[in-house]
Amino acid sequence: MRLTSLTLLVLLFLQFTSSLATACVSDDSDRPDTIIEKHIAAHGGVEKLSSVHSMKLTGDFTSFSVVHDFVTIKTSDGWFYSTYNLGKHRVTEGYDGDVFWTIDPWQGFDFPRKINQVEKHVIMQKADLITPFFMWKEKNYEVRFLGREDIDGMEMNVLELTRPGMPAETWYINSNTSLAYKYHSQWVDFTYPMQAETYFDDYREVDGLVMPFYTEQTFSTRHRITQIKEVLINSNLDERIFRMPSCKYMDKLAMLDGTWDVDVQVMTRQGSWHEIGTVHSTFCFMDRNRLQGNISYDMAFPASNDFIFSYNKRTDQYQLIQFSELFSVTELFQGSFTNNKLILDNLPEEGAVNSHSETGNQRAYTRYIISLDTMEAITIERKQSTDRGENWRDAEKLTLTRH
Amino acid sequence: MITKIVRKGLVLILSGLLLPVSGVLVAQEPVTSDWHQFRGSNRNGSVAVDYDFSTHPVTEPVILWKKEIGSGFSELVVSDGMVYTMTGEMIDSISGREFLVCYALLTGEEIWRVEIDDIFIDVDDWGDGPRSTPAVDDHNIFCFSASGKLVSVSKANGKKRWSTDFVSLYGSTRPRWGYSTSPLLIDNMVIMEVGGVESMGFAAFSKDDGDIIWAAETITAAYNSPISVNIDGETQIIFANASKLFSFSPSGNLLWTFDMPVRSPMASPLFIEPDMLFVSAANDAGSFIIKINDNDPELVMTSNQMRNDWSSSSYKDGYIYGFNVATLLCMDAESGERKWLKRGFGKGSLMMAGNMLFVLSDQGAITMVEATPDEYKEVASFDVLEGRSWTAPSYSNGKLFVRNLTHMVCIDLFPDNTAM
Repeated sequence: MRLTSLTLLVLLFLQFTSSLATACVSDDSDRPDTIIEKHIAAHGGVEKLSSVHSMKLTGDFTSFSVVHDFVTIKTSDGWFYSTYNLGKHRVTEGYDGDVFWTIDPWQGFDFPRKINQVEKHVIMQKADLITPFFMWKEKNYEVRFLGREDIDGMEMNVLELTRPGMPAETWYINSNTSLAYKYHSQWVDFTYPMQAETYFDDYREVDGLVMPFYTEQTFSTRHRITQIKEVLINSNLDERIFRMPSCKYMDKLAMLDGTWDVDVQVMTRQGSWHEIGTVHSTFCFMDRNRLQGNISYDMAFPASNDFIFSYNKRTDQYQLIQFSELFSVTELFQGSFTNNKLILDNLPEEGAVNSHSETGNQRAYTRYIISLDTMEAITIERKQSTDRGENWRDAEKLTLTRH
Repeated sequence: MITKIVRKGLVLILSGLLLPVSGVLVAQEPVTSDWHQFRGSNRNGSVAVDYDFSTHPVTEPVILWKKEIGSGFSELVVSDGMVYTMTGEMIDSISGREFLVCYALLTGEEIWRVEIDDIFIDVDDWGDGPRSTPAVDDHNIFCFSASGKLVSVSKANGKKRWSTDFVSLYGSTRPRWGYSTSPLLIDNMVIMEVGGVESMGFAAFSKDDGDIIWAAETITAAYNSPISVNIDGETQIIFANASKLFSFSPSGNLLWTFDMPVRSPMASPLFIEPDMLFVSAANDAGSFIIKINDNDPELVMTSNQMRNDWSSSSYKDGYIYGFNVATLLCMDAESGERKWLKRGFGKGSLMMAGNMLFVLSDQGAITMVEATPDEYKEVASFDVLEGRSWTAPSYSNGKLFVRNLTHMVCIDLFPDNTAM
């Protein structure tokens, strides 16, 4: 049978479309989704990972060639708590979904502080529950396939992972096992960024989850080993552990935190108390070591006073910074607790910043006595002295009742 | 005195010839020179041995002795049947002393000790006590405290001969983690990095009385130790400090300098015969090699594969073996290419005897690894110490010497004096 031109054309067309179809239905093993799907399956599968809400890890952490214990707690929301040793120093760090913090005596901080962006990235990496690739799209991560590489005799799928606002990480996923072999990321040393290489080993199954029990990391000259000994899944947690602790000294002032009805009384020249009225006020911790509030009332003139309480570790004294809007004056008071009363004044000390108000030819000093007897009622008394603190006379009384 | 002679005689007998057994060729117990200074006789962490460890593996090493020792990072050096090192011991919670101590090689018994200085207390808690390794010649020992005292002690009786203080006499500033330079002996001189003011950066002190023979440059004392090399028949003394290499003649003439692409190496420079130097630091640049031709150094290789922290590397047949921070690595010296790596030793250290690396992990395990670029080939492994172990092993006459902050161990690799 002679092939007509039309038949030939049809045959050629069919051949072309067949080739095209074959080209379209190609190997999709280069797609991040495919690699990650296998990776999640290797870790236990979507259902299993979804069932994990928290994880508590305990074991040995090696730094500077010395082994100490560590505890790490993480949640599916990304909350994090960990405590471990760097040398002889016990470091604690955490994240409660709002504030990233650390207590790091290795850096000279034995009180809680907030952390910088570089340190946040490190916490985020540490807080990964099993793998960062779980629900990576929901977390708005970006993932790119960078190719395949032979690493230490094993074929790796190389993925680049980028968390929002953070530097990219390079992950090496074993093509055979689909488990992570190592990754490169930005780490931190004394608040400064460093490039880190982290290896994973000793994969074990825990309640159907597969996770590395051994992690070895190098960054700059540092070398760290984490050897997990025990894993507790979905154990009962006290959420307070994730919160940045307050300065322990400020705990004594914690009952001032809240909203108050404030009865204002001032001492008249005749020596009797004059009722100004009741105003509202709120005190709150602006960070865990700074308690701030404002009390405003009309006393012939509108008087607005800002109060900022803090603790000075160097002098072992509590401090009050008071700003008077009426007089545009900032005054500093210092003092300590006697029983449940915090007594602060601006009596002159050697080298201290001194403030004063002139009363005739005599300099007047101010004292605040804050009585923290109950959670529901607090008294703030203001007294004045014109004889450098030998005698104090009443000037003002604020009675705070919890609103 | 008599006891010392008897002990010395035992060493000589054991070092003697062995009888062939059953017609099978039995090599002599490996005869090597003493390990008399930091990183051995050639300051390169290597010793030539008349023995092939790979074809005649050591199967049953024996711990000859294990003794408690004071804190410090000084290597154990060996000379004439004695082991010398520096240690530190606390008297109370805030003070103590540093000592030079002499031990009998065969038993580890302390023969004498001499007080060198107050103990250095490490504020970062890495380990108190001396960091420097003593150097031993025929008659005397030269040691250096972590607080900067260079002292000479008589081998015969353990008596101090002279002492010189770098801080009070030369205005040197003690580095944060203590002075670590190990004395280098050349002719009648003790060569040191001083870090003093007014051109007292590097100096040669008289072995006889500690007087300054020459001094040059003004630098800040760091953690490296000088080495001596022979290039084109000329002895050169090499210092690596901050970002510069310095080369001096034995008479103190500055021969050349070189601006290094790495900063502040703590690992010792490594001489690659006939005319190359390998230097490595743990910062990102890694390592480099220069070739010195007619006192003109030329950069011939850089590599980011090998980043030595304080642990120095060794060289054999075109390849460098050392730690890339905490990973044991073999690197091609010509190309800088990595041949193999092995993790698991932590921030370990090593020395090389013949064709065998003796790797000490930072947790106190010795692993014997073939010095070959083909692959990582572990021959044997045995635990000898517990806890942080940062001092490199030393080797003498078939015996391995290791220490950490609390113990020292002598391992007899040939307990039967046979080599099969």
